[in-house]
Amino acid sequence: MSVEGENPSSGMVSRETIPLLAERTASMTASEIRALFAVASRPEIVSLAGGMPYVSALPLAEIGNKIAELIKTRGTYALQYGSAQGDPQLREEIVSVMAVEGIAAHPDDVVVTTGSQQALDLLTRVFINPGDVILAEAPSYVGALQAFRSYEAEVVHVDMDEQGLHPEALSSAIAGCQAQGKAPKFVYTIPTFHNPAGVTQTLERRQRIVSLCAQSKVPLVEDNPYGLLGFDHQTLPALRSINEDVIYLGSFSKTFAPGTRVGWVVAPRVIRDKLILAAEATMLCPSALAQTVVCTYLQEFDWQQQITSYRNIYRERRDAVIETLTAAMPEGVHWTVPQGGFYVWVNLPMGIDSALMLPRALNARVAYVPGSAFYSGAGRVLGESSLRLSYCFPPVDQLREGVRRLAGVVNEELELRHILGPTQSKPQWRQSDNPNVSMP
Amino acid sequence: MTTSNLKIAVLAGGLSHEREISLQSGLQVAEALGSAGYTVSVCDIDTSLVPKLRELETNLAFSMLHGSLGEDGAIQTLCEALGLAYVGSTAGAAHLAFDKFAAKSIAQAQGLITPPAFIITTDTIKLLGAAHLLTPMVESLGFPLVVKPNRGGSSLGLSVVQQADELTSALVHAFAYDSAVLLEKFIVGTEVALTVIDAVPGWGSLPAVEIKTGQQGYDYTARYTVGESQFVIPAGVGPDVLSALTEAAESIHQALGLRDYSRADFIVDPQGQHWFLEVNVSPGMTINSLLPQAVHATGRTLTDFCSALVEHAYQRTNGARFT
Repeated sequence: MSVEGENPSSGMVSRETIPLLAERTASMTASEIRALFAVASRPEIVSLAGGMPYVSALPLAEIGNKIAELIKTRGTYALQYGSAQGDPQLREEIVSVMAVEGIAAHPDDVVVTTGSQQALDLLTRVFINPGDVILAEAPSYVGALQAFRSYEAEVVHVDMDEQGLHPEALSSAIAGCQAQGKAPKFVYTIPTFHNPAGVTQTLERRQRIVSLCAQSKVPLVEDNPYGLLGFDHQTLPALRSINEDVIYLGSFSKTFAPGTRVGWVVAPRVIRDKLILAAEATMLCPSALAQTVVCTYLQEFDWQQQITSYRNIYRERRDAVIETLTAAMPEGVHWTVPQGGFYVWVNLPMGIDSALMLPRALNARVAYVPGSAFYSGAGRVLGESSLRLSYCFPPVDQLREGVRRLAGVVNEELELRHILGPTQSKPQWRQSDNPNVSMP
Repeated sequence: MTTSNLKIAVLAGGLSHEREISLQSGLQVAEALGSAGYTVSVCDIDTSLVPKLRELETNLAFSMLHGSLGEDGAIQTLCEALGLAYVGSTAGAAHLAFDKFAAKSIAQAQGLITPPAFIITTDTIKLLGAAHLLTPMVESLGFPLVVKPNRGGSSLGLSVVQQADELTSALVHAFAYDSAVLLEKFIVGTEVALTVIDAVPGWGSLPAVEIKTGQQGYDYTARYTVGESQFVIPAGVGPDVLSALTEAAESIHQALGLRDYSRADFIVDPQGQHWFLEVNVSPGMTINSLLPQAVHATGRTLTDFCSALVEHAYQRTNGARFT
């Protein structure tokens, strides 16, 4: 009776298969922080963590009736395979949606994807060899970082401030990479209502960034899921509207419903063709049913009015969070005030590590995403004293209560730091302790 | 009622930091008991639990709650108050075992060797001053030392501190999980876990499991990522040490008044001396957990194991009904 490294039960994983797994799975590990997020889903917890749109604001009964009707009348189309590039009618509608942000595109330029997360995956697949460099803001969207990591890209973070990605920092980063013989494969940016930072690039910066990338011949990828969710109803021009070479990612997850998993990418033809082939290899085609639902929604519902409703809801919630932060947070805590989108970025006093604080927050029944989740590799240290709050889902009273609880947690942490004295360095945490939580 | 007709509630989830692992363990146990023909429901823990147990006409509870509520005696207290049969240790014994410092003290009283440790709370630090309190502890234990929450499992909040300037961060990490924290001497050696099965007919203690890990030790990632750790069953520590480990695990099980089953964790140092670390009354049952692997090494299945515990626990009640 001697067993080494294997398990005879059919219900158990055979460890003999482990050496057969690809090397890239070595970084796919359990982590302490990820485990803690299982608690965040409980109703007792005020979750300021996930960016879940408030889909209760949709006319659900009408949409339900319409979907039932679609199956009856267009079922043979909606339940069948489709083209890898996506439904032509939907691509026409997408062009109309993009026009609101000043983008002139042709339906042939559009590739429909399963959420814009898949567009990120496809882009990385067609651009990246292991070790290639991608430039991304510091901090950046965790889902993008995960996609980049899964293709073994090296992410180099570029500084940003309250006006978004810093052009000088971007210029230095491009030059630095080129000097090392590692020309960046692309620059990834979320210019409008940034996730997680909540800031928006000014028009002047947009023009400089587009110009800089064009001059440096580094493709620019604009991820714009929140662009239409500005609280003052004004929309800054998308980067893609300034230069047609910009690769543009769009999504209906925030302006309609994430459950449809419909996003898109607009790219210059040579890249678009590769994306279509990559999409075909990945999924054959996006869901025809989901595309039909979204297309019908755009054609038959007042989607612009719905966006206005969303804006009003999210503005009220943003206000509640900012007011409560102002009233409850101790001195030394700072935050951004987003003019749209879903997120507030909070900077804690130096020395507080938001990942280490998370269990205490869960004890107090409030959850957030630690800032280090939004950085890659060694850059994680930059996010240690920050965290992201999402205000899109909980109602106003819960948001206020959640922020009050968080303020209490920060006060406790400050007191603990005070009685323990300054932190000099920390034990060697594992890479996998990075909270690579999959949440929008 | 024959035991095969039992309606069993597997309790899993809850609000503990170990919720995710608890849910995984609960599903494994539910599947195992379902295969044996029992009627099994997995119940999360909230205000609907008691009405749900009644609605399901539950005969017996099998707790797979890890961490607080499951291992601190709270859920056992509920079962006792409700008159509901349950698998595992009583509330009082579980409460004692969950307190690592108390369990170590009782183990020492039984003659077991356990790494020297100090317990601290934020109140004592505040009252006495961090430097005054921590300096003599650190000088006594030396580096490296282990900092961990006094209550809790899955290595959550645990750090191995190599040098003085890492201590504060390790304490902050541990205090985020519990208001009491242990500073414990780090013992270099082989990590071994041993499951005691108490008075369940046909079962004795399970073979010792040796855990082989990388440099980072048996932390959360190593515990719950398939392939991150290797396991040797029975542990390759020699027959004399194995025998001593079994005796030690049974001794601590008995001394704490534990019931049905428990898993004790030890370090065996290069001289063959075993050091008791802690004991778990609701050990993990995930596909990567130690106990299921020890069961399989005996040629039996998790279904055999869970069924035996259920039969034994139910017979203990003489068929008393929970209403």
